Amino acid sequence: MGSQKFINPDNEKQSVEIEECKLDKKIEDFDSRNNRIPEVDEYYVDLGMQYRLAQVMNSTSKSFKNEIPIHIALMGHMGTGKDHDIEQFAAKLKFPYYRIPLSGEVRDVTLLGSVQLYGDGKGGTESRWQDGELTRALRGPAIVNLSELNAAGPEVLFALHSLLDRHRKLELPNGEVLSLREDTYIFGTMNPTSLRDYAGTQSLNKAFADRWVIWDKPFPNKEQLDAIFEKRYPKLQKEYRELIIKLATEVNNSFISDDISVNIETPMSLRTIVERIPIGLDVYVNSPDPLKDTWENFVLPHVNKEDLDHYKTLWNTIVRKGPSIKPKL
Amino acid sequence: MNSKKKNIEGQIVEDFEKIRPAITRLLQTQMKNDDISLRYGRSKSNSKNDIVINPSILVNTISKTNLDRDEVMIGTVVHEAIHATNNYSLDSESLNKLFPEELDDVEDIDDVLEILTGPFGKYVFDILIHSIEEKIFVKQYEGLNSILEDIYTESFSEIKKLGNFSQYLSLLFHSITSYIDPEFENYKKPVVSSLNESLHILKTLNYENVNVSELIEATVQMVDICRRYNILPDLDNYTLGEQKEIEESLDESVVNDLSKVLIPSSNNVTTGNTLQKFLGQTETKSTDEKLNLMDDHISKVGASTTIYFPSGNTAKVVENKIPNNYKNLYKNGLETYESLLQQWNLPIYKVTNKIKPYFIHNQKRQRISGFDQGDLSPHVPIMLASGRYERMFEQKQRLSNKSYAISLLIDGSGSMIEKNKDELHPWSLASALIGASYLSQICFELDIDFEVSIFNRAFASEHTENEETYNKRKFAVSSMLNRSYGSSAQELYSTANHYFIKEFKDSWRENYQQFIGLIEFSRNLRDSIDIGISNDSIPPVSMFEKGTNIDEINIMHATKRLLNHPSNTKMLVVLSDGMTRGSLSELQNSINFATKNGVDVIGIGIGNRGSWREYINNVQIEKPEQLIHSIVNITKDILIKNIKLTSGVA
Repeated sequence: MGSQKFINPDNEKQSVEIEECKLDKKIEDFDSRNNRIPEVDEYYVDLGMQYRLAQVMNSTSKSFKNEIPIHIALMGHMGTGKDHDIEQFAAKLKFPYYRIPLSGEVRDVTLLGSVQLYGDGKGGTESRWQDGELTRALRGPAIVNLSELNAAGPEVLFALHSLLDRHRKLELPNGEVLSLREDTYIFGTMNPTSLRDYAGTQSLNKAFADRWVIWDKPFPNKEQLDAIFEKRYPKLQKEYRELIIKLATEVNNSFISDDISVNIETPMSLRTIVERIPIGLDVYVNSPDPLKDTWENFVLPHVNKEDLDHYKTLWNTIVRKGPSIKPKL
Repeated sequence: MNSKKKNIEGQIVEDFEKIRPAITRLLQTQMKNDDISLRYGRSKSNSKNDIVINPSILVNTISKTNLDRDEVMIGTVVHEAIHATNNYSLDSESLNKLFPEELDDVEDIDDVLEILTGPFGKYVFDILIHSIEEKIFVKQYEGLNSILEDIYTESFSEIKKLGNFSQYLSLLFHSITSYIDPEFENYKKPVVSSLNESLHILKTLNYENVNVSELIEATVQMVDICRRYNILPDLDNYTLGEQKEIEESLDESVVNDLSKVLIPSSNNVTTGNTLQKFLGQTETKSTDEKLNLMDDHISKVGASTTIYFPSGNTAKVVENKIPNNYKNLYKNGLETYESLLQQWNLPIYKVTNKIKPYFIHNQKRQRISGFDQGDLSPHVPIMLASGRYERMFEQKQRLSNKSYAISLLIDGSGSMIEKNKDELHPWSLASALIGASYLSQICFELDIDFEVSIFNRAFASEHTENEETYNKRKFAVSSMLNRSYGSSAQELYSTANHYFIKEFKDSWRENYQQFIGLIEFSRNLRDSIDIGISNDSIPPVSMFEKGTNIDEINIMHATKRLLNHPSNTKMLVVLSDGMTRGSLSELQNSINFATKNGVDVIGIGIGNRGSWREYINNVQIEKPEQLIHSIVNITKDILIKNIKLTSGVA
């Protein structure tokens, strides 16, 4: 069985080594689980989160022999890349990855499972237990990402309580009790709660919150965005890169402000910064002002109407006239 | 304020609110201070985090530009905010090291610069600070940089039209900020030479942070360069009075010039607020006092007399007694007066006798002439000799019952105390005053009701003020009005003023000293106060500097007083250089109104620059020597015409 080394980006001498997951081909759901192992994103830039997650995994399993129930939740705004962090952590360790959104529509039966009627082929029916999404994940080695933790309804929280605490067990409605395996790790993600936050979210129930260690996942700063661009679009000229990063930094600074007289509702997500804009630049490569056309056609359509003046003012202050050179992607 | 500006101001609040959140957050991020807030208004800033954007700055910039309005708005607001956020203090220790002998316990920036560089260093220093802090901020935002570049480019060609020192300051700004390549060779040689030498100093400066001590040192060197190339005068060659005049004139031209070619900011020389960034530290102490002075001034303007023109328009005029301290110039004034009479060959006492009879004839004797028998007037020989009487006898039975009221209005605008290039002293106001003195003397001797007043349009002085208290109040009210009223400030600041030297009810003897003191000032200007008297005793001579006038306001005001006077013959004499800032048609209507209501308006024009066509009765005096002769003739003509009209016989 191989292992993966996680290096502290702030101090390359520090590292944590963790064994990769080796799926046993004999397990019943091997194919399905094997398909769940994510691809390594060659453009993913670890801004330090991988190393921190590895540290915790290493500590809980080696130092405390999995006796202490500790689960990490990443809290950050939409588009900060928190789910991508957990997914890439699973990819690197070759774990099957289950991302289970706990949005308001998800009920406990969806997570845990239920008894369903099936035809018996003789004109009659028979009832069979059908695992829910979470149950299915917990039956083998996995990294489970319970996303949108603070959107979960009360019955979902109730169902998860005993899994996340010292019992480490999931009680299914059919009477089965599923223990949390030592090679199954539960993570979570959530949006920050504030007055203007995401629809359906709420402050975490105290009992539920007590079962998590919550880490902030902020928008990447200038240097981090620079590193992402350097890795993903190494040919993109400095003139473009600097302006895109400055726009993203200033827009997101406005988004995270607590002052409702200056903040906006639409952040510039990592998806917009490193996917939408580069695509736009490619589409408008022959335009006299590719960045301006990209901004108007790939960014502004996603912006809340109330935030358009804010976006326009920042554009005029930071860019106004984009570079006239052809972007290289 | 024209209608374009009014419309712009109406829309500015809405436009400002669109950009305010983004700019505020940008500033918060840049300054690493989440407490910074940005607001639009005329009220004062509450704290260093409270940035107030003065509407007049926005209106002025936006109304002048042809660029995209939203972009100019962004550029102007950020520009104003950049220069509003940084306040500096002096590092006395490092300054004392740099200038160990000159600066002993001097802590005020104004004093430091005055000692090290004279009165002009503050402009160089202000531009250095302004340019560097703008460069530091703007270089981080390409969009902002390009907006400001466009705004500066729009007015760049105007730099060539500025005075040498203003050119130097503007090009110094561009050399530092690098929005535009100034291409020095297009400018005058002394300016280019000064700049080329100054560039060596610029290369040594820190452009990452504003280093005050370093900039003071650079200022000292640059002022020295400017003096060597004669773009700044060497004040040692002038008298104290002349020095003051040069300073004020340069101050006015620098502020006017720079506001044309740079984006105005409430915190620097472009709006006359030089060194504001330093003064801001002590400002809170005096702000309340300044606010009180402004409120008093506004109350005074509000309570002043409203003048109704025949056209239906209205105007305000502030009435005051002439400041009492002018009497302190009486002694020298009397000598000046006598010497002017000699110098200009004005035999005033002799000539007075030529006109007296015309008044006496109608007023004292109350008889009419033109009869073959009757009484003989003692003035008959003159009347006959001048051809005014054809018959020498007067008759008792047809009394004219004449009584006179005369109002003498003297133009006290700045142009009246300007001198031509070839003249040592100005003469317009002096001769107007001597003319008024001549008529006053006749009225006084003949016991005719008369009043004497001087008018202008400037910041109004008060009766008990001296030069120091006037200037202190003037600057305080000016700065508070600019902050609080933006584009309307000028209308409130400069008022039409009517200073009474003598009202109808006053004694001429009691006010004669102030009048003669005015003659002294009118001839010798600031030298007149350089006579070793205490500051408390110096009259507020600044009240006449930079003043303009609006003749029709004062004509209507005086007409109203004359119409209320019980006399049956009324005369209004206006002694002016004819350079009114008002409307010529309004002036014409006002004169017509006065004439129709029985007031004879006489325009006595001084000099050859103005126009007196609007005055039905007018005479022009191109040289002071013509003064008395002209006044005698026109007054005599009016009196005779009047006699004819009322008696039907001359």
